[in-house]
Amino acid sequence: MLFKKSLIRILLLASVSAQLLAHPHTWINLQSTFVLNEKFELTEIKQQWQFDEYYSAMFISDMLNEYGADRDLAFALAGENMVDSLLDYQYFSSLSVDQAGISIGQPSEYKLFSVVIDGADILTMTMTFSVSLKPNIKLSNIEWSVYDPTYYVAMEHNELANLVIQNGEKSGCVPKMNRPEPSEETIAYASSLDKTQTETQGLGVLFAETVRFGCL
Amino acid sequence: MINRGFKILQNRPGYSVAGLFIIVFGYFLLKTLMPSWPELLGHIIEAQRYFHKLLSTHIKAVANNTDTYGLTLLAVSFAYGVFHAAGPGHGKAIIITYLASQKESMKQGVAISLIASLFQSLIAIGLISFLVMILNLKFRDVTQTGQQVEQIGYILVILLGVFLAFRALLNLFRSQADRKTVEHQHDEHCNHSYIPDKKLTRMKMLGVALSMGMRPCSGAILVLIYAQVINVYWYGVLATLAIGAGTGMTLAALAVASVFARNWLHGLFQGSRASGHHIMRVSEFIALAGGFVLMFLGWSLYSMAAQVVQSHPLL
Repeated sequence: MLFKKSLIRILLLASVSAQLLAHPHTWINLQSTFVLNEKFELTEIKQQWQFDEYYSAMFISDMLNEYGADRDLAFALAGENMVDSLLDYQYFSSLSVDQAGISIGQPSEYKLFSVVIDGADILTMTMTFSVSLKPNIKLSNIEWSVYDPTYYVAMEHNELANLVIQNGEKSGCVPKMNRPEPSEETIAYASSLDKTQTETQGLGVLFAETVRFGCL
Repeated sequence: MINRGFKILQNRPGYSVAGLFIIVFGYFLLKTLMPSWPELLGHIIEAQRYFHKLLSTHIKAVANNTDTYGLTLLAVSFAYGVFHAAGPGHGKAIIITYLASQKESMKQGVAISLIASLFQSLIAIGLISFLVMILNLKFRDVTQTGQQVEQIGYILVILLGVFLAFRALLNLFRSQADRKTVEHQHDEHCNHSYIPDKKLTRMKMLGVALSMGMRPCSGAILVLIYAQVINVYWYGVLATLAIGAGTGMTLAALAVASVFARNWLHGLFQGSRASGHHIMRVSEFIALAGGFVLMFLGWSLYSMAAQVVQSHPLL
């Protein structure tokens, strides 16, 4: 019995490890800005996605080939395309208020452009989502996370500086970032991906950051 | 506990030695790695990111000043290859499973590692050269094709597992039949199956090397495409070969280690009463288990890749 159980454990671990180590192929640096109104209600979330050098170089080169050399026009068209294709994936973003998932709908504004960092053109996208529920940041339990369930793309805020509360000085709230510590349970959860094929499960969940807020 | 283990061993050596092999390995794996394993995975993924960044920085440097940075790029690529094989390289699991469960020699293990790594680099170079330079495909399509080739590689791993398991089963049945006719007479007839079939082994070796190397290293594909975008494609090719060299060396070292471990375990039981037929049966059982592990690994990697290929908004 013990033998059988540990065998299953090893196989599960081996398979998830093998899968994980075959990924990720692309990295995105995230920045999330939480916009509060004067009543400390969360009204908007602004996101910035910054792709890695390889993806940026490939994407921009393809884009200029496809849409012509007018960079501004090309970025506008490619941006529309990208936002459209992310719709079905809810922009890899999820917001929950008091444990209940809230749809963030479509971005009210977005822009795709590039910035030069260390001599390389870095593909950058910004999106603004309005939060119609307007939860009070001091009274509600707000959770925000952005991740690709397949872990093809690793999406990370990396440091607390990439989490900003706008108009938040008076609220006395600070963002907190939780990175799950993958355990055997979460590994088993991630490996159940193949059976259920639901969006929320997958390797990505093992490393998905969750943003919460701590208020005075 | 140990006494009981040996009693079982004496009664049914075939099952118990195979079982013990897996228990010993599994126990060590669990005991030493389980608590820190997920954390270790995180570190490896982080290191991979660092290497990718380092590589892109050096490719950029080469584009600006070829003479000064050419050699450094090769050194970084080689180091990436070493790390890749020791950490995230997929081929490692396959070669360890294969060598731990098969009767291959150390030399063959090293050969498989080197061939697979070289093949892997060549596949990446051939694929990118053909698709980008000749067919003039978009980089996005090239990446997608790379993913599909990767899937084929995983299918090959499954097939290799099926083949190994099937062969082990066949040998087991054969030895069962043998046993009925020559009940425990340990003559030269006994060792007949020990002499490896040269032709089959070479085919098998190539099969292993192919299924390991078929998957073009995603790092190499990134490097090649990036080098092409910034007009230093030939340095991308050289870097890819350097990555292959680094991967091959590490895999070869792993191959040597797993053959050592296997022989050591075999030696442990050689001294006991289980000999001749029993040892042969044991190695067939281990081969069978190895085949199943390969099927399982191949399948889990395939299903993962399939999900990304089917639909990913950023692919």
